Amino acid sequence: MSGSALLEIQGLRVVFATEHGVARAVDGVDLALRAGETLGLVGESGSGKTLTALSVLRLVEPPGRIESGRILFRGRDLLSLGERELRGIRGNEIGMVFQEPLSALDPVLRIEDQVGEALSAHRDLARASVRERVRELLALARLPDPAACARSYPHQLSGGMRQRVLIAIAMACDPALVLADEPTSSLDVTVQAEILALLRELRRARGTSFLLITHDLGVVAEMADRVAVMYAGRIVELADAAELFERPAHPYTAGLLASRPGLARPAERLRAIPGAVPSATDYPSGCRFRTRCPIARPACAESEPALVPVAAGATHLAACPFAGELP
Amino acid sequence: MSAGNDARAPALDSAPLLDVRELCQAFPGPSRLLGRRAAPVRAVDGVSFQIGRGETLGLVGESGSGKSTLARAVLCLLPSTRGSVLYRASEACAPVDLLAADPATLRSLRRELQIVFQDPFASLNPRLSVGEIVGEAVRFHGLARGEGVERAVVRALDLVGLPSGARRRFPHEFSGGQRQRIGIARALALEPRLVVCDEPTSSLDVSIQAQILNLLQDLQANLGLAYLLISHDLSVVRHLARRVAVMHAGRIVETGWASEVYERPSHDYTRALLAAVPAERPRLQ
Repeated sequence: MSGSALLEIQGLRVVFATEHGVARAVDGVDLALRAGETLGLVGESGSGKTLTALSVLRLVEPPGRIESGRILFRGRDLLSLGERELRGIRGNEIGMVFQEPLSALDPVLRIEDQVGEALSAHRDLARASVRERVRELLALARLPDPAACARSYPHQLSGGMRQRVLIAIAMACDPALVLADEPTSSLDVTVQAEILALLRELRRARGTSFLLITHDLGVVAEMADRVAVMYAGRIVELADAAELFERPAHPYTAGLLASRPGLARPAERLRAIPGAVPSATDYPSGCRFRTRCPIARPACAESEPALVPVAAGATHLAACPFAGELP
Repeated sequence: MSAGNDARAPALDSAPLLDVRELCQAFPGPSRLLGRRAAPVRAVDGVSFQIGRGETLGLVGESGSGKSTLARAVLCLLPSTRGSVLYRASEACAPVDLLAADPATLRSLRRELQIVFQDPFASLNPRLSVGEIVGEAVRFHGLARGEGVERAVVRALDLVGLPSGARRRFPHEFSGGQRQRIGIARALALEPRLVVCDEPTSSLDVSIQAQILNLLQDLQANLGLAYLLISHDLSVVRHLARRVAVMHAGRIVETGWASEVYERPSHDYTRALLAAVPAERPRLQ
């Protein structure tokens, strides 16, 4: 892709050995994230979206294993770096925000120690300046009383406040890229709206890039510049957010959009996608969506469709040769 | 505000299936030093609503609003619930207050009031086969015996779109969506009149959620079931419910026809809730 890519994932494959055989959880993912953009990576459970994000920082745990691929960050392949060099990037140039704000924090450490740890790991700061910087970061994450919050333990904070602390930790070293995996999925809708507003504000003020992993198309609509849709370990569609919602090209994306109940719609029937996501140990031959696809035909079983432009020169990519025939 | 809204609530027939009046559910407060306790937590604080035959009442609220406690209190699953839960099996029957009923009456009426839980992984016993899970309650309530239980199980599985062979398998062999179907089959096997659906699709993926919502709709149309649908998801409630009640801090702050509440919310909390729902598609920048 273009030279301006901040992060470039090439041919990523992650496999798991299971009792039912090898699970090809991420199976040939190519994805580039430009500096300053928010890329939404959408998929349902088991699509491989979280593993793709974990691979970026080599956090895939056994029995999972990154089988092949390259992950270029600012031109360096993260998959071939030594553990020490990688530690210099994790939490420093690349921050992380995960879904469960309670389990991601240490219950017996005060907030200031946890945020301070993220700073001290990468910066040589005197204790007084760490203290001061921690309060600045908590204020940056819009925690109402940074000084009081700094002295608190995680259980004394609400879910939304804990997620703000995690965002402060992710932003501690002013990273170029933040991996955010379902950052609002465990939160109430009003708190979710506040956290999304905070992320937008940080993006505007700092120019941070986000790889936003979510199952929620609403969150994507609120946040993403571009969207990649994952299904069964592969990216099946990639487009600018507005384009994807207006003109989905892959039958899976179209099905996902149509299956959402809306606020304005009267109680008609939903267009559900029949069947269930295939097991990662036993994908169908050819197109992995064909067993649930409304426009599938015999040719779909023969070869796996490549992710290609929907029209000559288009930036909108889809992995379906019959994309134009959607009803 | 809440009193004013009651006036807006759509009028129901004079003999609703369920007529809940001034329901209160308190829990002991947390222990403090020297054995003193903090004031009781009033999780449900004077809630009244009605559900008509074959209709869906949607109950929306955020975590901690008391909506799941309300569901359990209505089904008499909690101790020391106050208020009344008047249940009328048919329009010809006299209403029975479930909270004041003797144990034998309550047990016989329980069959008609069933619940479907949020988490289809936690709510199915992993050591029982699907046939045992669905058949257990049929046997308990004496709806059938011997081969009759088997027939009731097969019928319930068929209603939710599962093959009869599913009864010989175990919960772990099924996907999340199929497990939720098993949970629904368990409720349906008792031929209930009211099913409380507590976040029935919250743990499911979007594409599977749509299948379950369609199934709930079909079952209501075919069996005349009434639903009390509890959800934090305003779109899910909008889709299924004709009437909605918005719950906040143990009280119903607004209730009315779904179309009116969603289009012209009158309570500040409802407005905040609706404003927080993510956009369906990206806004033009």
